[in-house]
Amino acid sequence: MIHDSHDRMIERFTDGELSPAEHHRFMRSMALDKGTRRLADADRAIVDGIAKERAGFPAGSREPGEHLLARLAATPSAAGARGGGGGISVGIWQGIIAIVALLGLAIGTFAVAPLLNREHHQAMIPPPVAQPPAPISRPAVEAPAEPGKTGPGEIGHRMKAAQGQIPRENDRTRQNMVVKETVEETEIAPPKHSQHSFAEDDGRDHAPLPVITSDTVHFRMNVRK
Amino acid sequence: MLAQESITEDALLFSRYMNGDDGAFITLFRKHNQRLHMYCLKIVGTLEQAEDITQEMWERVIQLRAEPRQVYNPLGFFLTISRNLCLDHLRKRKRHLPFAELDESVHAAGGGLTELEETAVALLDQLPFEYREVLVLNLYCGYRFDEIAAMMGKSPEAIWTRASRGRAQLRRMIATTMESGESSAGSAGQVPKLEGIL
Repeated sequence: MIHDSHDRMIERFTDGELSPAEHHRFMRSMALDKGTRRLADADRAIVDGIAKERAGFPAGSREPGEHLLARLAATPSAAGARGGGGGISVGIWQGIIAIVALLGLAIGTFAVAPLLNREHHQAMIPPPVAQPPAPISRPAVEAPAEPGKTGPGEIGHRMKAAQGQIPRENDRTRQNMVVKETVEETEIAPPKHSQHSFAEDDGRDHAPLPVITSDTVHFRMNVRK
Repeated sequence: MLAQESITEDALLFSRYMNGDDGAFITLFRKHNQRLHMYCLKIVGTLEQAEDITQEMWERVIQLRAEPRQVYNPLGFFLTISRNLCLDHLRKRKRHLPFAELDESVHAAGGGLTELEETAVALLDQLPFEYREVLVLNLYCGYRFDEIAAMMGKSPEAIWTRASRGRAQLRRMIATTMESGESSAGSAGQVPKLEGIL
């Protein structure tokens, strides 16, 4: 470090950066130390010698020669229009192309993927099979009450009627009708073959599904052709 | 102009040149050719070879337009090409020019040098390359340390340290030569008498 500071002092002396006091001190140290004086003289020789040599060197050409200009004219730019200077740089073009490519890829992916998925579903998943309507479940059949007595369910029925859910005057008629429908429905069982699975499907058309009317429950038998 | 501003300006010029603006190339040439020529001259040692290398460097820059690329530090890019060409040239020669040959080529251009100054500029070529290059760029080409740092991609402090060490090493080489000359001749020769100043 002492060596570096000594070197730095010599350079500052050569470059004229020392203060008057530092300058005086350094001159005195040079007078006492021959080595320091040699180093100071060497540093001065470096600076002056280089300055003189530099001044004497032939300067390089300031204008490009005919050969270079000819080469320049013969080498078109691959990036933009000649003489333009305001064209879009190569980097920007590359960026635009990359963005367009990415957009195309993204659009292609999102547009094709659902189609592929749909085809996949159609190939792998059976179409929904219309199931026959489940038999209408009704409350358990209540036996008609004997005249003058309260039959089973009569109390609940009366309570519903009292709440206004059933007109009171039609209590008995309505009850009898419900019982009749329920009896008829229980006699009809859904055809077994209407509950087939896709795996068992033989590809043939099946008979129409049963239709239940409002008045009477009628079921057309499902007959294979 | 700050080193960074200069680099930005050069980068814009280089971009325009790459896009086909020949005027931008000529501007870059006018701005940097003389200094790069000086650099090559001090590295390879002869005027003719320095001109050839500088010319080849610019030709490579022209060729680059056919295969465009982004250059953010054109001066550093030019310096790198020049340095590689100079070092290739020196490798082909397998040796540095001896002092005698240097006297016939580069140093003949400089006139009015004292014997000690001639010794100083000749010994500069004996420095390690990393020291010599920084001193040449600073003392011959006139680039500031921050400009050299920017073109080499190093910190200004690192460049300053390199230059200072190179200068100190060169100083000692000259002092040793002076000492041996003094002892052999029995006189101080070119060394001025500083005692009289006091």
